[in-house]
Amino acid sequence: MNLQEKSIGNVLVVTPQENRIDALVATDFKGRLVDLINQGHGKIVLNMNHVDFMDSSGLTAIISTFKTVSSTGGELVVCSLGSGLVSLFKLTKLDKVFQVFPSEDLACKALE
Amino acid sequence: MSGQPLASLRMIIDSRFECVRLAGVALQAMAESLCYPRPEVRDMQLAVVEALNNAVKHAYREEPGHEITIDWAFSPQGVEVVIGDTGLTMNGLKVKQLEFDPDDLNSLPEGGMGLFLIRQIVDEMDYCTFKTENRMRLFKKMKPV
Repeated sequence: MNLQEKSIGNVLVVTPQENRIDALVATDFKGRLVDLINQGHGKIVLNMNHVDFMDSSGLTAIISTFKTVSSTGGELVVCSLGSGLVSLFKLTKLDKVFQVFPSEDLACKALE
Repeated sequence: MSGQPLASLRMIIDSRFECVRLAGVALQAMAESLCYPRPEVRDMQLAVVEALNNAVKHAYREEPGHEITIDWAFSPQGVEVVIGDTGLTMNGLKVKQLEFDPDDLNSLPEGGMGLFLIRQIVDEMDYCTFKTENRMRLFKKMKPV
């Protein structure tokens, strides 16, 4: 799975370069995110700008990463959700768990 | 499903997640070309992908080389999908509610969301076993525009 990573101050912005996060790539996705946490990144913005479809496997990968980073005192927020992902977060009520920002800039500012 | 179908067809895929993805993309392309509304098509695609994931994961234990049949029927009333497998049978359609405390990390779900999502999205959902074939039928109301 192709992820773009960039640091803005002490915030790491991770942008999946795929338009689908499903059961085919979810395990790899989760593994890559956990690797980043293990490398010491504690403030992560997940920019979902390119993702227009995600199933519960992808969602589970994000929840699991959120748990891992939160348990070590870090933070993970998401930004730039398309309408399909907004719908998914609402259906599962995870919009009450995750901080969701409309843009990467706003997400980064919230973590700085 | 009532009403004259606009189109119906059968797709047969192998029990692999690559093929589930292919089926999801195919559904989206077919439904959009028949002018069903995009948000409903997007949700139906999610329901179908979740049902197919269940067949791969639970019926076939992620073992490739098994057939999954998908019968699509597109009508003016909506989209019906019947998914067939000959793997392990589900113990009915017990849909667990998604209950968690947003402030309690440990309560957040890590799995088990597939059937819940399907139930949220579709208008009709049933599951039966006929001889050796398990069939899950999903129907979502939507009108071509």
